[in-house]
Amino acid sequence: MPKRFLSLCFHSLSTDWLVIKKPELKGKAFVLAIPERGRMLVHASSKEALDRGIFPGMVVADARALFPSLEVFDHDPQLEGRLLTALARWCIRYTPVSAVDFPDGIILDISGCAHLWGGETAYLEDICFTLRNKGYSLSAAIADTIGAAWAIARYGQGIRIAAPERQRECLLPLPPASLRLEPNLLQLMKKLGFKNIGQFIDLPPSTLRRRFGEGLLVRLGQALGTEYEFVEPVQPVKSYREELSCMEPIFTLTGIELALKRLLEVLCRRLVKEGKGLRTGVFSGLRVDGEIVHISIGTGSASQRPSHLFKLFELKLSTLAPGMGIELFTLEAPLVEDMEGVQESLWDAVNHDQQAIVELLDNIAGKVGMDAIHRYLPQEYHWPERSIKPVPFLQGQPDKPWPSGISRPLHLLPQPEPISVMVHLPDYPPRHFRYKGKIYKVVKADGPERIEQEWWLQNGPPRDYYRVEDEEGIRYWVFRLGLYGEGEPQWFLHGLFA
Amino acid sequence: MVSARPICLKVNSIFFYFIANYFPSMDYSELQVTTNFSFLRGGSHPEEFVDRAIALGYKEIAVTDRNTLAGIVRAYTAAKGKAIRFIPGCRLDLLDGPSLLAYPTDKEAYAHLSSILTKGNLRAEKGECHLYKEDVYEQSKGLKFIVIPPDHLNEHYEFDPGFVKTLMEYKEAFNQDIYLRASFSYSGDDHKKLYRLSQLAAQLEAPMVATSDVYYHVKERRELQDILTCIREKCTIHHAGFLLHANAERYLKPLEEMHRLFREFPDAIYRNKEIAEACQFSLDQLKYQYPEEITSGGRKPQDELIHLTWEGAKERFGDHIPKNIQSTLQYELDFIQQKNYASYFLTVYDLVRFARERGILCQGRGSAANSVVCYCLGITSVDPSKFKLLFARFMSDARNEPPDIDVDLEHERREDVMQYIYEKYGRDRAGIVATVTRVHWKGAVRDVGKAMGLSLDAVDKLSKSEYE
Repeated sequence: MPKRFLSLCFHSLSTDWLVIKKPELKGKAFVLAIPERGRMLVHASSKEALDRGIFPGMVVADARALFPSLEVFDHDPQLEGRLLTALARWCIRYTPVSAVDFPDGIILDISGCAHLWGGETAYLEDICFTLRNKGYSLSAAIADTIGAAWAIARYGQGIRIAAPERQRECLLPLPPASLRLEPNLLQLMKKLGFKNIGQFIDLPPSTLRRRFGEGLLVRLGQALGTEYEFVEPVQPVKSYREELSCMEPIFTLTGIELALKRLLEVLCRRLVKEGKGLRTGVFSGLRVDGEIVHISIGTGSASQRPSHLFKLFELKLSTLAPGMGIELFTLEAPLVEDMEGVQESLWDAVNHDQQAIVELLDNIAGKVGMDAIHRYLPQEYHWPERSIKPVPFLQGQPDKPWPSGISRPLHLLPQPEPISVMVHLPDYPPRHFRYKGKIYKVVKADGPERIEQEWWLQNGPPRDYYRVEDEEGIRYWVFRLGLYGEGEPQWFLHGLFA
Repeated sequence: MVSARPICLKVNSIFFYFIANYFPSMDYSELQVTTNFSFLRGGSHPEEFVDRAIALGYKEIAVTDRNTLAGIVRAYTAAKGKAIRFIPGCRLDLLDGPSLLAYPTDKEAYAHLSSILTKGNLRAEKGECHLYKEDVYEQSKGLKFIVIPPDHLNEHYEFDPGFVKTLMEYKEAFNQDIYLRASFSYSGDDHKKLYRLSQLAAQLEAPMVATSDVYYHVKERRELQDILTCIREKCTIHHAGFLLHANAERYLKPLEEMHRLFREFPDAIYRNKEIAEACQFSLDQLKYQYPEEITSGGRKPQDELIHLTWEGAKERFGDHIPKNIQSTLQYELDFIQQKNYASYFLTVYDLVRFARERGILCQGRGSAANSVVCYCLGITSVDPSKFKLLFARFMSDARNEPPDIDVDLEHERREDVMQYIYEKYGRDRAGIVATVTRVHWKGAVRDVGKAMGLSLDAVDKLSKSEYE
């Protein structure tokens, strides 16, 4: 059966995605930015930003100079890859062979699929309509070859479907860029005045090879169908799942433990082999009475150590009610991550410590939940809210040391909370303060520590921070926003010392 | 009821008496001022500091730039004739110890301070000054020193033991009173720091002195100073982080505010007065001192000048010197004698003589060059009998400044003359005059743009724009 391919091209994948996620951004000028050599560069701009002359590759500070109320979001370099993979999976409903085509497209092998939708035109329209409804701006084309479909999707004016074996005619008026050539090759062709494929398609291959190298011939062949091209379809996720059926129903804790250990060993062996580590795990038991009971765990960083994973499960084993007995155990790892085997160094104890902390945290998380554990790294800002940044659990190391010589509370409230105070003017610590209806008498105090607004980020009055201690010996971090004599200062509670 | 009144009055008067004694007068002198002559550190001109200090009612203000005295001239000129006394000073940043603020009490001490700086400058690359403790020990006579303590206490809320050790060393080496700098910087630990300082002061008998550690004359200059920091550290404002100061407290504060901040340590304010009183040296005391020129035949400079002038006159005018020329010459020579400028004329004469001998083209000009004496000595070639030259207009008693003769030399052979000067007077006594240059508009826009994180293209466009 002759092959047919469909190429999808997303025009503004990352910005479209952000608008879908945050509908309030619709119609606004915003950009996604990535840091590069200490500057923020525009990675992608919304349509409104493009209209204002803000293009990818610009420095964000310049873009802000052009349009001050521009909204800037951090760009995740892996975002496009993830989105394309997800979309390619979604496309499996149209054909089983769906592949990601970096950086902005998807290739579908639709051989023998289109008739189910009533022909290629209807098929194409269905895909485009559904995706556009989701909020993506895209173009698509169908042709005999991947190359031709790719070219027509991106450069074919008005044409959407190249009839079988007619890709050659469709390609003739298209520019050389539609052949997926290297930039320097394109530069060369532009210099020589080749504006469309028709100008050189009939030149003898030996001439083309001598002049432009093998690359052009391969790409031309792929577009015309003389060279074969493969796609690597996104595969449904391999499930990491092990089963253990028992001769007799098991209802003792020892028995369950044994089953768990055996399953963990098998699963971990497989994880090690494939270079993966477990992030979440579910241990289920099929009971004799037909009920399924399960317990699940999560880890802070990928792990493939049975003993550690066992410990995590062990905390919850008591909640697994065996009832009349369990006849089939399954262990599944719904979430795994790539994991490099760690080379243990002989003398360095740091790795061991790190490993120990990871495992300790997993144990704590098993008891209180992952959400209750936070990690922060220092940022070089004087303004307290900006001086720390939350980081994913156990990932990333501080690139700067924590500042010494200044005292900061262990517990910083998410928002400063207003308090009313009795205080001497102009800058003495409060004598009493009232917080949530209760009055605290200050017996000891230190300060003020005056922190001005970081003027390049925002303007406003400074804060004067005080450390105060009440009669019970509890220490608070309070501040006054503004100075007496300049407007109406307000007082806030911002943190608690241990 | 009747008897209650006098008592009431008495209480009142005691209270007033107490107030009057407790605050004899709101007096305080700013002794630590960093101007923009500490390059890319200070945010205000010396003149701005002086004017602001006058407005706030300061009686004295010092300027202490980092390893330089360059800023004191501007401050001195700004303070001249105004209701403020200017104290010259310098912050000595040492490579092997805590920084010192140094103030000369007299002219000799000023000479010591200058030679310490010269030593440091000669040792290092242009723009740097490498000083060591030893340099200061050698020439500390007559200088008042304030030691600058570390910004923060260590984790035990104490001063670094190394600092205390050096402090003792300073105390011994200077063999006189040294003072400890106490500043209220609003960094949260000020009370602890001041308390530790007061302990240290009592223990070492090195009294505390209050300063504000001023970098700009008004609060509003903080943004400018932050940008200067970025330019100095070659980073953008977004990456400067802790290089910037957390607050804008390093400005000249009102006198009452200083008294309020140091209410627990009023001594620190009085000591401040003590230093200000002791440092009576003023730039007024500096006079031009011209060295005696080497003469031939054991003559005094004036005699030598008279001799050479008449010799020259004979060459220029022949044996019969016109009467009016004779009288002008006599008048000029008398004036030169009265002002004691003979050596200066001889120096210039010697340079010109050397240049002529070597066939180097040269031509004199300037206020003193309009004289018949210069014409006779061959320094200028404009015949004063043909042109009406007004020597007296440029050099007179009313115009109280030294004479000025510029000698323009053929630039390709300027080096020859320079080498001659070095050889004649010695390398350590001859120098090239340095000038302080300002950052120009274009460069300033470029630097600020870079510090704000604009791209090079945008900075280029801005700096080339016509906007003024």
